[in-house]
Amino acid sequence: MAKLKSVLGTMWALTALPLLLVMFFGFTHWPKLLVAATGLEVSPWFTGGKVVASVDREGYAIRVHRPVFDALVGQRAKGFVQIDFVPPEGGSLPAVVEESVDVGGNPALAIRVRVDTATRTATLGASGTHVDGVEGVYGLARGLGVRVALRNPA
Amino acid sequence: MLPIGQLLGEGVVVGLAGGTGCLATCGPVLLPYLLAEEGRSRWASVLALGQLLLGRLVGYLAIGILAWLAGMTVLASPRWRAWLVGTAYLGVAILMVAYGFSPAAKGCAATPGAGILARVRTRWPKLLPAALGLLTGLNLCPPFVVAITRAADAGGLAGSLAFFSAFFVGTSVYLAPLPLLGWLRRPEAVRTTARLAAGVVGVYFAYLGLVNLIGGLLA
Amino acid sequence: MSSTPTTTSRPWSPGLSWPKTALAALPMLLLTALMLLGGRPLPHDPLRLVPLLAVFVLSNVLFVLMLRTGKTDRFRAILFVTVAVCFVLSFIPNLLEVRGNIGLTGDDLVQGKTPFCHMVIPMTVIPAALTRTIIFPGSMLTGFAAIGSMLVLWLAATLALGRGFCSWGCFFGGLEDGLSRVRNRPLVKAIGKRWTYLPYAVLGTVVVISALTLTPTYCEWLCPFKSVTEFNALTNTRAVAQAVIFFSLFAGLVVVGPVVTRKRTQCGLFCPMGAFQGFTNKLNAFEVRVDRERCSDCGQCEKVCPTFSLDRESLAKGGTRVSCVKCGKCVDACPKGAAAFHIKGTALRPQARSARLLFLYPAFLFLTVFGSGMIQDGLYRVLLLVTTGSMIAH
Repeated sequence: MAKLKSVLGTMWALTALPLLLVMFFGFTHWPKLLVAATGLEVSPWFTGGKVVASVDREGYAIRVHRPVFDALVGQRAKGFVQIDFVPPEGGSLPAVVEESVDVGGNPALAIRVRVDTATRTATLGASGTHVDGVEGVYGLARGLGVRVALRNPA
Repeated sequence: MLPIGQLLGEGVVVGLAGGTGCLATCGPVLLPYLLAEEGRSRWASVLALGQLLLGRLVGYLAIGILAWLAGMTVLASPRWRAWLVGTAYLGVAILMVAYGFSPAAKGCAATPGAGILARVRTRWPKLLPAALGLLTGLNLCPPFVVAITRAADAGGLAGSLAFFSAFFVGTSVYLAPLPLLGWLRRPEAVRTTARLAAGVVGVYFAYLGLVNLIGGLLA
Repeated sequence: MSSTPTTTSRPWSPGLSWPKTALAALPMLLLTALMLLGGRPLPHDPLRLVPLLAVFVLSNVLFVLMLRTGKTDRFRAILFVTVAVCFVLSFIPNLLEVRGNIGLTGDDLVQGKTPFCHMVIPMTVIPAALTRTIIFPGSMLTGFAAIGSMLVLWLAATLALGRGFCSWGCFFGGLEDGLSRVRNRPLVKAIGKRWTYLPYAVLGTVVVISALTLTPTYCEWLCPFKSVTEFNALTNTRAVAQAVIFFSLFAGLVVVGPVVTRKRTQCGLFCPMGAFQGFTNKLNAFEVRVDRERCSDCGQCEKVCPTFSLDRESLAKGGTRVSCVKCGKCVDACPKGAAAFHIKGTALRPQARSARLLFLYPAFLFLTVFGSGMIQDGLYRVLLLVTTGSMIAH
């Protein structure tokens, strides 16, 4: 048993260097493999979650993300939805955009939002009963993202 | 009153969602006591677990009644709610920090009535887990405060009790394994760590308390 | 335990003769050449060429000295501290180039532009297991210090070195390591053993609260190293409070603590990542052991250990506590040659060199290759500052 332990220990120690070499030499490959194999992604609390609806308007487009109520288990009572306002390639957003946004077809989450793109401020108009207010306006790689605080209707 | 089915479902979900918070709060407090009984048999550990859960259930139901009463009175106002919750957090924070970081502290200050526990340990040692369950069941932690405010809005005594019973089931998933940690090889290290963790959690509670108090001022 | 060695005889050294040193250093010379160049030709820009050559020469000279003299920590520390200092010199200008600002803005968070570091890893485990998401505002695969890349680096280093990562990889640890060597004698000699459990308490708490809130609590509120990297732009009271905490912890645990105690106080008394990494020592092949038959109980190892990983209890069992960072300081300091690197499962032979060499190759290679980018960029920034007056490349 002692001999076996000794052999196994030495073998495990011997693998340390090759392990690091394999890691370094394949460094462009392993992260992709890890992410693909585990299906890991950045939390929607940071990314805003997946885009579930897209509407093209004259001079800009709207991308509506899914509402984020994600908890460790189940859902939270409070969350948000992110609405992106995207200018055309190489262009810019109009000075003011005003939109009615349907969130998951739920009237309690219907949002009427007005965005002043120059000052990066947003205000809500008549919205659903579970819409709490504008949480923030953020600059995106292209355009602006408006996060609207919601109460979970579920 | 909200439907009982909905309250039961919500109670379990709130319990499951917030149970890690219960673990953070009650774990550091429970562990040093539970691990004090070194050499406990597995059967005795399971029995201790049963007692602990029963004690917690009784504590939860008592809070359920209080939440119903509070829902009709002080918790009806958002400002009072924030101030009460903030003050409660700060109180618990002070106790937990003192308990966690003071080398002189002998008892468990984070639960109300550390002296009671000492007496229970002396007179009825076998009932200690039940007493611990009851007293931590009466403790305020973030998920528990959420549960209280939700139960206060339930609209009736039966609803409040139903919600807390379900909340108990949800949180038990996290707390149930604690007495089984008595089988660990190094209980002293776990005890010391758990106690320090109570102090760290206390600092977090102080933050939550301040946030609530400031929120109450701005409400 | 007395702090005075009981013998004055010349200690045994694991150092090699010059021919053996040359032979043993050759693989490292080739590997570092291969790794540092990565198949690319030498850069023409002297501001890039000089740092590259400097890293190559410095690391190989240090490795040769390590082999020849038999001293591990003395030469490891030079490279380790250099990496940490250069990391700071490199990180901030890099952020300014890539992102345009040091203060983290809401835009940066939403766009996933926050560099990921290993300190976040313990907090991500439960949410990743239950929700398959990483609770950090970074990018999985693209940009500077992407999450996937850092996870791969950490995973490999952990499998190879266990908590040795904290002495051979962590680019924060070098700051404390350096500052703990500033004074010859500590001003504070005794720290209660119970405080050495604080990292585990911090670990448990931040892991649970992070899982509950789905935010990296430690990064948001407690990380001292935010002071020398980045933190939320000071646009509200919350951000100011966070910054005050970061700077206070940095001053206390990374600067004052190491200087007055000659210990790595953040690593040994606070760091949750270190506590987490300690558990990986159980899975690792390498450890430090103390031969009880040779040990004279002089207490020298306990005195020099930077992370409080040796005490009477652990010495009685002939080893270290789980928090050992495998820096080799106790091995260097032991006057009897009783402390040594050891491979688990094998017989304890403190004067056999094989275990030390088998550990040194992966550990030193990791430190050199992982740290080379930081050293090169740090030196490049210094040269840039000297030649252009700015650390930012325009």
